[in-house]
Amino acid sequence: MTFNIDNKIRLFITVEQRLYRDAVLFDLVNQKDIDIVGESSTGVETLSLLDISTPSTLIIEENLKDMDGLTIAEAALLKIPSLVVILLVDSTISQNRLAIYLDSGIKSVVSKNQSLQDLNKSLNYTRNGHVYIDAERYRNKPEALKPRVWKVESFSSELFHLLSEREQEVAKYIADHIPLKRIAEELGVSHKTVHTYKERILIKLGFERLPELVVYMKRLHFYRLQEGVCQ
Amino acid sequence: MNNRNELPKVLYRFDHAEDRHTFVEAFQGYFELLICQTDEDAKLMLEKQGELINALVIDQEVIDSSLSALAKSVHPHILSIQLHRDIALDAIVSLLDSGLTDKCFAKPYDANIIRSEIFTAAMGVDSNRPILLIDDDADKIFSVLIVDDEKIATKFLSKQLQRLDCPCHILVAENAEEALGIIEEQKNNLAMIISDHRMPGISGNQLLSEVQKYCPHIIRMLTSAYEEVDIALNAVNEGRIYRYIKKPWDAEEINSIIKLSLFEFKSRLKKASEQALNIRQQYQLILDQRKKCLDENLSEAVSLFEGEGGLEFFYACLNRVTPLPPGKASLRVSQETDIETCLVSDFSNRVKQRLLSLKDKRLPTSSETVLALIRRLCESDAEETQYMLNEAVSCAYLDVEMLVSLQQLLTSSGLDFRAMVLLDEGHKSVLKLMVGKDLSLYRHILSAHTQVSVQMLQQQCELLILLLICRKLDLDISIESGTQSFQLSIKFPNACT
Repeated sequence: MTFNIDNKIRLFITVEQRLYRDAVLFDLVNQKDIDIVGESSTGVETLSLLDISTPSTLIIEENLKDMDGLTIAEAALLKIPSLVVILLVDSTISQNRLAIYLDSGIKSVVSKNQSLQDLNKSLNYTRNGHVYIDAERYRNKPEALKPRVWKVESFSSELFHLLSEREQEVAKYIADHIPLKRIAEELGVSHKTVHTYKERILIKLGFERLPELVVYMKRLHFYRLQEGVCQ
Repeated sequence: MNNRNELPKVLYRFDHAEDRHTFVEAFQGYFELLICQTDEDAKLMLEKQGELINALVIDQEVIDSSLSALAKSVHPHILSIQLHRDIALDAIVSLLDSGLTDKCFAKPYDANIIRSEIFTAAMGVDSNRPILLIDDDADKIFSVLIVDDEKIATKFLSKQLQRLDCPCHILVAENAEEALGIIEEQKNNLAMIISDHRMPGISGNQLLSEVQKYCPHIIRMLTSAYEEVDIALNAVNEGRIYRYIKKPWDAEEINSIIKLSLFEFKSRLKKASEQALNIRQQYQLILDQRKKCLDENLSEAVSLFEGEGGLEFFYACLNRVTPLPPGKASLRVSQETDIETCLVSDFSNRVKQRLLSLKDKRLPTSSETVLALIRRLCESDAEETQYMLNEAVSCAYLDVEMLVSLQQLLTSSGLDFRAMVLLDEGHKSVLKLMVGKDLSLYRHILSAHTQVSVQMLQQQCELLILLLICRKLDLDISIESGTQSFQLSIKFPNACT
């Protein structure tokens, strides 16, 4: 029994494809309350490494080469009952299936077509050992909110309208990789003011870091292009 | 929810229009909302639709638990949530004491958490960790751990409790670190922990959250001399505490709380052990039925290949291994889905196909060739092994097919032939796994399952094929038991004999 009193997430990640695992790790490694304590591409190896890495959270893919992720997760929970397991599944699962996973001791299920932000949300809400269900997956969305042309899941063009005109302007500059100092010169305001705009934009759009904003702005651009083509 | 793919039903009782507006904004589309502004309307709704309601959310200025009491008494499955602005500590204490409220959130609340809680309740998932099964014989005296940095007060309380014939052994710790050490040592004897919140180092709230994670069976109570509403709410929602005790302590009150908690602790233990027994018994019936279906599907094909007794030998080998135990999830999946049919038919089809592919394979003339191949395999990496086996399979000998099955078993345990050794024992050569290199077997065809995975089916099929080929070739194969693993050895006659 290893108590984890500083409440940092000691994360072990089991994902078969290296590129996919790297992408998730590169995002999580920047977060100060997450300690990456181990990684693996197979289930059997994951189980053999649990004793030395003593993770508090395990992110594990459902389909692994040697054994399915759910079986490995259940074996891991038998070894470390306090382990928080987040299962990565190929696509959104039914509520019936989700209930079975949660009954098995899984704390949260994230599908591969969700965003890194969603994975982060699951990590944070489950850190104290609680179940977290992302209700958004099971929400009855009004027709108007369902994506039409744009195919990227969880992308909302409406979010951009939460920003003031000035903030929208700053967001566009940031997406073009213009340094804050130059944006300040262009807008005739102080560097500090632009910094405040940037912080407000991130809060309003629900982002934590700049790359998320840049990717969002690129997606918005593609979305608008597609909208224009279809109209 | 009758059908878990419908939206959960939430009964919402409010006082103010703006609260209703905020609530509807946050939860519309996620739940089917039944909105009431009076207790009478809410009671009527409970009467009419109580069975189908998953959660009751009370968003009133003044705490009144009569609605929760009604909901809980008639429909105990309903999750009861209170939403409050400026809730008083006394109110939280009384809510906890009444046991009528499951969660209490201060405004502005995090809608994500509330949505998740309601979905979890609606799916019938018990989000608590499984309770450790502890022997509770009549003579056993459990302990209570009191954690407080005020040494004199703790000593005084512990003496008073002894004088009052406290039903538990009393253990004390000066801080959370010391408490964690005691918990680690005494976790099978500890029934409850009463911790002060404000202590140097780790706070009482943090300590109880950790205890909730690692030893959820221990009943947790927080005490404080300060009006710390946030801490109390956090302890209720996150640490799932049983009671919040305000200081100064009253020994008689604490003693009666200990008695109540001990009763609760013992009931939880009893319930957990009855539940575990019930699951085992119910699952055994499922397994008996599954075995019957497997026999019906496979007996003929297996007998045609190898003669009588092959399947029984396979079952006997499996029964030597201890797989992952059945739980609520495996029982639920067997009772509510078509997993049993899939498991039997997918496994049977796979085995039949494999047996068909072996129909025209030749019996080896001597074991010399296969022993030479095994020696080379035991020195080769996975890629070379694959190449060698592909070459050998083209010769169409049955003993090579046995090695193909063995390779599959090794791969599913993250191993290859280098984990095996071929020992010359005079008239026999023994192929066995090296020490510490066991084959993994988390689930097998006669164990509990939460899903049918291709990997498990393949592993099981190849194990059966391996056993059948060994029997057909009169090779002595033995399987030694393990926990979710097994050791395997095959004896080959040496060429000179």
